Amino acid sequence: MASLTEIVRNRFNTERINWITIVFWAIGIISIVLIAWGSFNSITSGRLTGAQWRDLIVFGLAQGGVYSLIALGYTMVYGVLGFINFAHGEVFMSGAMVGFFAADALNSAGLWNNQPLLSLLIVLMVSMITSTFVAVLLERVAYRRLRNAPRLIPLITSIGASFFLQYTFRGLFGAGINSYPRMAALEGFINIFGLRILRSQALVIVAAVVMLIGLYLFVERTKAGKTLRAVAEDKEIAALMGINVDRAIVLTFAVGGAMAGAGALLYSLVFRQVYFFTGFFPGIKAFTSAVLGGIGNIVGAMTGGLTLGILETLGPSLVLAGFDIPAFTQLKDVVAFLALVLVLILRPTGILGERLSEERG
Amino acid sequence: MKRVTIFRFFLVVLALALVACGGEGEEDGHPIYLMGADGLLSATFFENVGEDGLGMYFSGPGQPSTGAYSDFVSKYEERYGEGPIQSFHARAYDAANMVFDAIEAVAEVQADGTVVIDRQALIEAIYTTEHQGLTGTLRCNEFGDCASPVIAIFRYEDLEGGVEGVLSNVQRTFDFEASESGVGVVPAAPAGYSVGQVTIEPGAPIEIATLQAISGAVTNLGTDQVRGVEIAIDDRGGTLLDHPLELSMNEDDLCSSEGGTTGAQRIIANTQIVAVIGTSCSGAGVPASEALSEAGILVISGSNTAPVLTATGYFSDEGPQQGEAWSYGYFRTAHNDEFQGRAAAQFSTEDLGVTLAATINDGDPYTQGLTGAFGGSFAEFGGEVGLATAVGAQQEDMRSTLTEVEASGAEILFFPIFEPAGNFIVLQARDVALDPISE
Repeated sequence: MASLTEIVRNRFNTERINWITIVFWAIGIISIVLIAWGSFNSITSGRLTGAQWRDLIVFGLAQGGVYSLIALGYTMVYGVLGFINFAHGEVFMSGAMVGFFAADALNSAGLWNNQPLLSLLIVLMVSMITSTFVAVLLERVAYRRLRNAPRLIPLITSIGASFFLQYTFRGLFGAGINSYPRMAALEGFINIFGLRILRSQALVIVAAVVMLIGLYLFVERTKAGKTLRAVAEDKEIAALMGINVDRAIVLTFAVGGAMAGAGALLYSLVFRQVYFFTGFFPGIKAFTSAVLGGIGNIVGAMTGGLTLGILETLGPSLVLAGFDIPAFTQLKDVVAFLALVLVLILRPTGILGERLSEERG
Repeated sequence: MKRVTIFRFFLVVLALALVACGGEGEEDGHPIYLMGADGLLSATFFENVGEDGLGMYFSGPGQPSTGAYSDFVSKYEERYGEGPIQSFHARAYDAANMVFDAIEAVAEVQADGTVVIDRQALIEAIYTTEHQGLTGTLRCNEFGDCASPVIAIFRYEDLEGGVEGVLSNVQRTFDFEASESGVGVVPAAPAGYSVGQVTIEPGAPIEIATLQAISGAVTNLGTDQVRGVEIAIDDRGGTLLDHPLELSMNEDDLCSSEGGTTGAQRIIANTQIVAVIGTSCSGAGVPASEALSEAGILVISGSNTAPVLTATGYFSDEGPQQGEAWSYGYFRTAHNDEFQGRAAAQFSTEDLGVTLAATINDGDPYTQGLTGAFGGSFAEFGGEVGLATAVGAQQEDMRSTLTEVEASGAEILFFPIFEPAGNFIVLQARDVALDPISE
């Protein structure tokens, strides 16, 4: 009597299958069935109208846009240096906090509401410059010496750097929550193709998309971008080719930081409250998005971010509500991390695949 | 498949999903009352929500209107340069005074000036003594509830007024008669309870500790109470029984069970601490009261309100029963949330005329206790809780939760949570076509 493993092996004509693979497939199939069943229940129960579902998707997109921008920092550093920079959440937070002071100053000067476009640009610059500065500082102080250390060391250093930055900001600016001033130009809704979207969220989605496209073009089409890709592929050969590896790495951190700074402004427009701990959860979620989409891979960060944003916002209402789980709205994080676990089990390189090993092979 | 192709495929799926939803949204917001509780009666909450929160109701501890209370507020303003920043300062002041009076009553003063305080006698004194405080007459029952609950419903209508403005804008006061059951009765101490004495050498200070939320988003809740205790010490001239009276440990309860546990352990390690005024948050109170009770240290909280810490069932036919997290030697001068839930529910049904409610808690014993009490009372008054849900305490995006609230058709949203989650709910309510009533 052939075992299940042998039957499957024969059927699919491959030697790589063993019982673990079968278990994983079973998990995958069961998950898909549960998700479909839960979603079907939720949608047919009519608890939310079509417009409300659509609103949830848009909220998820805006959230996802912010995650994508932050995820870029994680993914680029991983691509080039091979470790996860856990202090990146704090790079994001520093942009948001310093941006708050700029916004507050502009508000006191009356410019915030009178010249919204100019104010936004100013705060964007402030935020991006701060984040870039913190990211480059981190590289110089915390990571440069550890270039040749085993990968775990800079990872642990980054955790330490994360705490250091959090509490430095707390010491400098206090533990209180800071509220960005309201911008009248961003109040209310806007109609696009018959969809009614919040103005602030439309701005976030559009701005995120523009920055992501901009970064993609930068990395793929410009010479500096080529340098980054070369260093990501193989540092030693790139050095032999005459590329200044140190400078390329600083550029990586700087670009990642700038993206985080932009993400910080967009986050602040949507959520309006920042304090020293603001970077922690978005940082973790952004890291999750980067892994979800395929770590080391820029398009992966974008996809992962948008996916995670939508999964988080839509997941509880769509899937969990269908099983009548009480207080399902507090389970957004559960959905987000479960998605990560499932992706890692079923497709360990992430949705779009990990860039490093692929290119090398 | 090439990466960018997968990405484009993903975008197409997204676009299709959006189109499939279709449907015109309602143009007009769905009117809803917003009601929070004492966790949000903090200066920073009003600074952060500004106009968005106007018209919001709050349930909370009724503030006294006596001359003695105004004197207290003047002292507070003089010493700290600002008015009270939360709503439990007077209860912390009363708690401190109860401790000092009990010390005076049970302490044995020896000939050379050494003071010996028997820990169990001190605790028994609190169970059996009546105390006149700023917040009224405090008589502790066998469960540790000492206050005669006065719950007020406040409304935020003055943009510049901050916490003081809200606390003075009372819509209705509920003065519940304190239950007589178990008052003055000393409960049985736990088996094997033998906790010794504190000996204070001549000239050494009599030390008390506070375990309050003095950091993070709810820093006002704890700091306000620490100030109440400091003023109580000042009012005694800084001395008690000819020894200096000192607040020697000011621990942080982090408004969480971890903070409560570590803070309590640090306090227990200092064998000279006679009593603790704390914790701020009930979530910290559960482990802290247990640990401190085992060590024999008297604990009085000025702001823990979760019913499980003392007794539940005040409105039931059988009367109050010991709560799951009750500890011997734990008391509170703040109300039990069964009363607050009832007051909020009664106000909503009688004064606001609503019948369908949605509640949001954040999983912590205080918020769960309060939404539970509200839900139970709301049903008794003829209403229905259409959606009883929760958010994470650190959650930032509340829009999906608020969409569910809108879908439930609720006429009032009761969310007795803390900052920053409460702030996000108020700031994001209009994003989901909810129209908080502000007139």
